[in-house]
Amino acid sequence: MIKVVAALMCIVAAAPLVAALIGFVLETLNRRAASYWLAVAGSTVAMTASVVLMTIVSNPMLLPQDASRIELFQWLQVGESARFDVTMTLRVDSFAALLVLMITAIGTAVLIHGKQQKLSRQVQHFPSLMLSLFVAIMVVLSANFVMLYFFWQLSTVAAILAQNRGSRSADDASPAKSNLFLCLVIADFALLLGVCFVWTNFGTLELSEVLTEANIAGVLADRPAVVGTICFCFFLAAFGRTAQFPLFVWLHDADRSRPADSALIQTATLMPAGIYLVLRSHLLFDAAPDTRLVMAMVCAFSILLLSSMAITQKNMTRVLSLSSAMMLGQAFLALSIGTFDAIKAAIVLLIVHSLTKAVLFLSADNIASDCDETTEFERLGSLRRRFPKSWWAMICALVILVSGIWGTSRILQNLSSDLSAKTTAVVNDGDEDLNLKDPPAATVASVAGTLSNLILASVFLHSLAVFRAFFLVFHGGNAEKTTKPGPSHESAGSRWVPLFALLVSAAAVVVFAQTNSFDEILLRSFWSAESVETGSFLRPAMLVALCSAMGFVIAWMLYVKPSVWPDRIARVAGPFSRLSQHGFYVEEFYCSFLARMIRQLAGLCRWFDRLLFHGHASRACDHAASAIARAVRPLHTGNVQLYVLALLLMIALLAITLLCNLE
Amino acid sequence: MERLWIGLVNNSVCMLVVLPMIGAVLVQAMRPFGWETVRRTALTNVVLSLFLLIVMVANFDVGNRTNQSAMQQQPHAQLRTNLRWTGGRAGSGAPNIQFAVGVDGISLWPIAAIVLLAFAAVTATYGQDGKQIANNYSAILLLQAALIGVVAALDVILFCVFLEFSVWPLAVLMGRRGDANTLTTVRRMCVSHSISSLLVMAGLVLMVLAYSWMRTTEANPNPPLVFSISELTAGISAWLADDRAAQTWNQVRVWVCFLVAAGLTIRSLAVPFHGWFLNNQDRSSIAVCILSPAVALPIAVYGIVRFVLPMFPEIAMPLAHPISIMLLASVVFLALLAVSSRGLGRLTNHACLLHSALCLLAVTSLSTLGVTGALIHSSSILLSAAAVFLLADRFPRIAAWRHFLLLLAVGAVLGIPGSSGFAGQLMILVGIFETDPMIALWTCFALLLLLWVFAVALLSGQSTDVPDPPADVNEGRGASLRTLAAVFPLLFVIGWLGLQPQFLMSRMNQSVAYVMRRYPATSDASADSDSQRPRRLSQQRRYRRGAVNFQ
Repeated sequence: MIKVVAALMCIVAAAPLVAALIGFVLETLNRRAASYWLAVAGSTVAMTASVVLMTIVSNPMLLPQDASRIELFQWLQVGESARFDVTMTLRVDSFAALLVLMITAIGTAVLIHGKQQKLSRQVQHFPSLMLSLFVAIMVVLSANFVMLYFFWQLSTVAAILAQNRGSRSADDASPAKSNLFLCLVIADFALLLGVCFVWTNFGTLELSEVLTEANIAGVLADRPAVVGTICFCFFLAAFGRTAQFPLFVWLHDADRSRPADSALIQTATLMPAGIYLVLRSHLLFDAAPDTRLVMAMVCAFSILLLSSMAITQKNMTRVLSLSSAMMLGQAFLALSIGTFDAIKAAIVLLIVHSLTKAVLFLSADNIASDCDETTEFERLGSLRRRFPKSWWAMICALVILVSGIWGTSRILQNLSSDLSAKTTAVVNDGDEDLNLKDPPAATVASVAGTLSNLILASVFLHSLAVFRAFFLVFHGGNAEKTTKPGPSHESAGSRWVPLFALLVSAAAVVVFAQTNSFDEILLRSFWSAESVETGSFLRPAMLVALCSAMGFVIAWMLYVKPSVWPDRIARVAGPFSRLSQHGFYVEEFYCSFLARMIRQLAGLCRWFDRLLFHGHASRACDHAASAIARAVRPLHTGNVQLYVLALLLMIALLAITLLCNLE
Repeated sequence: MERLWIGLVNNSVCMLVVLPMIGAVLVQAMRPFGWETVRRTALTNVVLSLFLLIVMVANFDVGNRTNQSAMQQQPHAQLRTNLRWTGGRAGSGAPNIQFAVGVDGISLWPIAAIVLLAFAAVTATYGQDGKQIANNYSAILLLQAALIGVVAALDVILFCVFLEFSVWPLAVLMGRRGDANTLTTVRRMCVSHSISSLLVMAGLVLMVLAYSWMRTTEANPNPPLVFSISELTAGISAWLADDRAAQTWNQVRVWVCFLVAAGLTIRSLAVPFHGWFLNNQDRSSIAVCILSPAVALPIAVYGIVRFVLPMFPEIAMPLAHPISIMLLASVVFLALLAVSSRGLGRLTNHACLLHSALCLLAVTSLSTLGVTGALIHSSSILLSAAAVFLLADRFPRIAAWRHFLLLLAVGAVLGIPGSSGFAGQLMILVGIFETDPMIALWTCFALLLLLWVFAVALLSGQSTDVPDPPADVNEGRGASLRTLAAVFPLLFVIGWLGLQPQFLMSRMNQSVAYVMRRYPATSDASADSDSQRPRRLSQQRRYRRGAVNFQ
């Protein structure tokens, strides 16, 4: 069975790669249709193989060990004693298999959905998507940190290629275009620093060797701050990937690209990688409560910021992007709690969010395809009759997404349990004892309540934002209509079948997540996570449902029909509305302050370089050379023997001087 | 036939040095037969060099020494050719200088890179015509011979001769246009490199003399001068066990180290010796753009790893930290300079300069990873930059395949995964991080600036300022094929080493381990347990900051 698993891993990884490579050649030969069908075939093969892989790996009867691995080739070995040894190895466990299945399923759906546009897309579009898919799969299947970093950085490149090729506007000169690149590269360097810390302190790069309780305890005993620093680096890397504060500015590029491209990046390739990194290294995070606390606070702030930005945006793609970042922020918050239930909530949230958000993006793509490639609310409205299937797909996806019974309420429930556990610890142990055992426990206890309130506020804002977008597109709106005449794009089967397939999958995951079988699958990967008794699920579920319902009702009241109330509220909100609409001017701050500061510093360096190294210093050297040349001009007779004699005399002089010094 | 083949294999390194020299003469001799004959002669020569390179690499013995005692032994140069130059006969009294060339793990990759660059330069300029073409090809071939000679030389004097010789063909290539600015740049380059060569030569001659003084005994008052690099490296270390010899060595070692290191630093284009490079690149032909970094980057790193690291650990250890701070400032300065420059070609020049300083920074980390990364990266960045120069002209209007290849080449300059730049940069950054995480952090910042600037340039479609494209942009299919022929070997090697750097590592490990055997970060690596590793690294950091005296 191990050989079968190894073969399946190879198929899952190789199918998209082969499709991408052949696709690049085919596109160069202008065989775009062939390239498209090849991409669909590659993705389908990978998805089928990942279904079988998931079945085998999650079943202890078929595969008794927790994980299976296959060594491909030795990539790098530096030093005679084989210290820095990187072997390209694929490793799969039940969690990895689950994520691979999710990635390939979304990839296949996005590709099938793109059938009608296979000829209108830019060159190399589908091979770029397949490359993204391959890289995302390899990130999940990586068995060591260098390999993880290798594919992590490659996914940055693939995302930029996909985003750039999928760009709708010709505004390539915009400096904001590099936001995606910059944020992702910051995340990449953060991961690299984390990997460096791992190598210098653990002495190995293998995930299975580093992420063991014994090794982490050993490093923790020797250097307590190191684990926290590693976690901070990973946390920054993951934040860059999932567009959390302060690295969320790349989301603003999202409205410049097609919704279908955003679907793959935000739900299958780029964003899930951030969550995967933190999930995979949860043992490290368990040993770093300070970092977890910081992560929780930054996440809560980020969620609130993103959801408050989402309610005033004027572009559907941007609202959906902000919603993605917000949902993944909730997943991070769950991971900062660290219990098994919280980890499970994060995983379910990640999967359900990815599936439903893919549906939302693909529905938005259906609309954009018929509406002059725009997703601006000003140019959309009253589209329900024209896009009935997209309407149904979106409403179902939104209900699943905002109901929160599978994720958000579990997080709230765990946060409350954590709060009560810490409070009990404070009461029972007293402050001094507590500080020795678990320094940030008291702080966590005081912060957890605030976090719960922030989550509820953000749930309300999120619900308001996404339903506002929904109503503005399908119901309200009186602006100029931009729909093309004739039947809508969604009438083709390839445009709506993938949506409902993904919806069914999301619903199935929600149901399956409530069963013990799902717990058993996750326990194979997260057996070491702490299980704590949680209180009643009813109260947090009702609170989340109430907040979501409030958001829905207010959105319905304000936006289902053209109304003057939104403008009135915006006028009342005044500065907040403007701040929210412009993303709190964070991007402007980066552009006008940081970028300008760096450019001015660069200008200063240029001036210094010209003045000193190209100016005075060079001229001084020239003058010195000329002066020396003039001085030795009398010796310049053209007699080569004389030159040789001079050279020998100099060497002799040097030798004599040294001999004298020796004595 | 078999003997002929064995002879060819055994002397492949020597032929790699001699063949371009013969080619340079032949190119001049073919002038009366027309420009096409001249071009074909040059092309045949670089193709034959490429063939010899493949023969050399295929016959390089990887070896498999893994134990500690074997690591202390010096790996012998392979495929070596020894020709008596002066002396050598018993009782002749003349110094035993030999035309000895060979290849080991340290010199293998630079030789390969130089051959590939020469091939690319000749192929890219194949379509050019005119009176200067024979001189250009001769200069390219002579430059190739000189650069291979520098890294393949096994004799100190031969090294110095080739080092000095490498300046003049480049001067001819650069000065072809002959305007005042170009001549000023050429003059500066010649002065800079000549001073560098003289300093290195003075240092190495002094080392030869010092080794002779070390071995002077009553029984042997006049020991013969030794010019063999391997013998000097091993011999000086061995003679340090003798108190008198050690005392003699201690008196001259600072001077030797200073002269050699200063000469090579001037050569390396590190700030403030970078001026001529940027001026030159603004005005030169594509051949100069491709070849001029090769005179600096790999030679400087090779020289430091060959001479300074194995012979002067006592000086290198305490000085490494202050020098690395200066180099870090240089890296950040160059990154900021890149931010204020426009155009893909000029950015690539800045990237070359930055990576040059980065390689030196990695060497000063004194870790096996850093040194290995510097050796790989100093040559691989040349290939990537050459590919960018070849493809970058008329960037916004080029064909789709060319655009795609250009993206790959730029990615290789920036070190995207799957390119040789990634492996090199990874090793460099991890190596630097091992000894000083803060320096690694700032280095990451500098690289981030460079990446940002390239991203802006690429995404905004900035046109390049490469001044003299391969003259084939509007020449149709033949010209495109020539560009493809020039670029393909470069991209193939970049991609191959990116996906399988172990091919090179397995050939380099022994040589680098021998170079680094006297540094604590690597000498006891195999004896270290994982738990001891952090302690050892912090001890090394203290060494570098001068807190502990090196014994």
